[in-house]
Amino acid sequence: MSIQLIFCVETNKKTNSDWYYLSSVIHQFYRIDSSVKLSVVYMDGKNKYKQKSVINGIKEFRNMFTGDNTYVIYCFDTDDIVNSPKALSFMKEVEEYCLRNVFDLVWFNRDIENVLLGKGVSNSEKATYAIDYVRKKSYVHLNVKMVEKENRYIEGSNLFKVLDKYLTRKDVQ
Amino acid sequence: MKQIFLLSLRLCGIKNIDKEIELEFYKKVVSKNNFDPTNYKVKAIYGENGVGKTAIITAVSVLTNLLNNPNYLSNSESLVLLNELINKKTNELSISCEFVYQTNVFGIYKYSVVLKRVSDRKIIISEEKLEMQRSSSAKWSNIICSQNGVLSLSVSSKKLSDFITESTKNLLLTQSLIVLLKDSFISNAVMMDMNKDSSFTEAIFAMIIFSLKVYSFLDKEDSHDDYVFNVLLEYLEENQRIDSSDLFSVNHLRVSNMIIPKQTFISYENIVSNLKDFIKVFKPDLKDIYIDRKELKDSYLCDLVFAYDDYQLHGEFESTGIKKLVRLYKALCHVENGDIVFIDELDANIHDVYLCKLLEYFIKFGKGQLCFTTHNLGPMEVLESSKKSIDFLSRDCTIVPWIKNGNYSVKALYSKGMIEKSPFNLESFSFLGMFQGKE
Repeated sequence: MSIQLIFCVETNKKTNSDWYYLSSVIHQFYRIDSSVKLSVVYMDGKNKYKQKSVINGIKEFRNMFTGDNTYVIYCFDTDDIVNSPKALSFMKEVEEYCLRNVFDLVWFNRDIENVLLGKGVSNSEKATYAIDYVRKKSYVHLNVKMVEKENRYIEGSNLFKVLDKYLTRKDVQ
Repeated sequence: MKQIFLLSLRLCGIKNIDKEIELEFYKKVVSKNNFDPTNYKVKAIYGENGVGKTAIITAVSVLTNLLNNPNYLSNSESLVLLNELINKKTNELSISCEFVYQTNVFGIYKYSVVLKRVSDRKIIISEEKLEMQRSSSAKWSNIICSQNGVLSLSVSSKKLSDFITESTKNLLLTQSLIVLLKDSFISNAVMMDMNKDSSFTEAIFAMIIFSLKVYSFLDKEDSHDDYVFNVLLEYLEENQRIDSSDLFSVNHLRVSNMIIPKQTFISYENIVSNLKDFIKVFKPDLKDIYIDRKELKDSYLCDLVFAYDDYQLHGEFESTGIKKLVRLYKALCHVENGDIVFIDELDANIHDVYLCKLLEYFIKFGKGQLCFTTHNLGPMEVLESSKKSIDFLSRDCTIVPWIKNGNYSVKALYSKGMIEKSPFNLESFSFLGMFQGKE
């Protein structure tokens, strides 16, 4: 059986930083053989998650895929979900949206850089840090426990919890 | 109307292909009344580097050798090569093909053969079988079969049965039944009173015709032509004589070092004259192609010289593309003549526009079948209008045939990795850090 996973990421196509991180981590820790197609839809800002361009992007990938099943995975930074009612309310909104559309939701508390690099990065430096992450193969040193979390209020991500539903992990020491 | 058409090809155990794959060239339901292969003449096989596209063409090459060369499994050079080609895991190579042969009668034939590696220096035919049916809904009837050297055949004439048993005695492990029967069967057909076994006779003749109609053309690196040439030349120098049929049967034309027996030189000249017209399509300023020949005892050693307005160029110094076209020319002649031709990397060194026109020609006017491997996505647009015309070979040795998907072009889907089992999960940033020198 062949599947397609569509990742909807916050970044835009030009910066592409989220996909640099996600793609390299997925390839490092999961078996990606010819039965798995990874596709990416760029939201170009988290608030655009249900805009026509995003919905059409998902629809296009779904229609094009000639394999068996397509699954959609939305990826969001939680931002300061503990202290910011606005961030919390946004997360609840996207959670509900994903539930309604049978999409998966991957969250990064507080953001993808905090989880994978261990520190926050300014917007202007996001692309540079993402390129370095791939170039230096920093994904090799990823603390897997950080991306197997279930509680979105603490630092970390549920990335592997979601990926485990569809993909098989490699034996990476 | 006489017609031969390959319906399907199955193979397993060649190079990296360790599970059975099947190429289908026609729809599943075949019968005399509905058989029309007009839109099924060309097929392209796409796949990433190293997935086994060349292995498919190589398997066809093994098949044609087996069916035509009596010494194939006793010749030490071909054994060395076969030993490398047979998959190390499976230790056997199985090839099976179904084809239609239509004269005044219509028959579907299935030929299958299994080559087994016994040791590094010994490869045997462990199974060989020919079956036939009148339509795809009928049952297969066994015509002739050998298993581990034991023959079984379904003929009513004792004379014929004795004749076949005698002519194949002790040879079935190292020679194909078809090779063994070919000469003696044709020359003894009348004497053997074969009308009594018309289906049997019909099937054997169909298989013999099939063996003469299938050709494979590997790219230069995989064809071992240079090796064959050197062996022949060495032999020629030692013996001052060589069987002319061995020489002229070399299927590739080359720009240099073609050994042409004297009695076939006129046909060679004709071929070169036609070749000139073909090359002129690609290079309009070409005026002529001369043959520069050196006399050997019974043959000529020939090089081609390309003549332009004010200069001449030895073939070796022609462009890579022109040399490729010279090599391809005879293969394309076979397609034109109604044969079943497999070509590896048809696109290599040929301009996309010319390649597409060439394919269009064979789709519209070719009498034979053309199956080729390629990396070039350009021909996809031409092939989309034909049926069973595009197969994708995946890294896990699965053939995914192209099936129309909405309004999307096959080219768009394939390049975006949307064809099942060809996902191309590759990003430009996948190469980051790969080319930096160590400081």
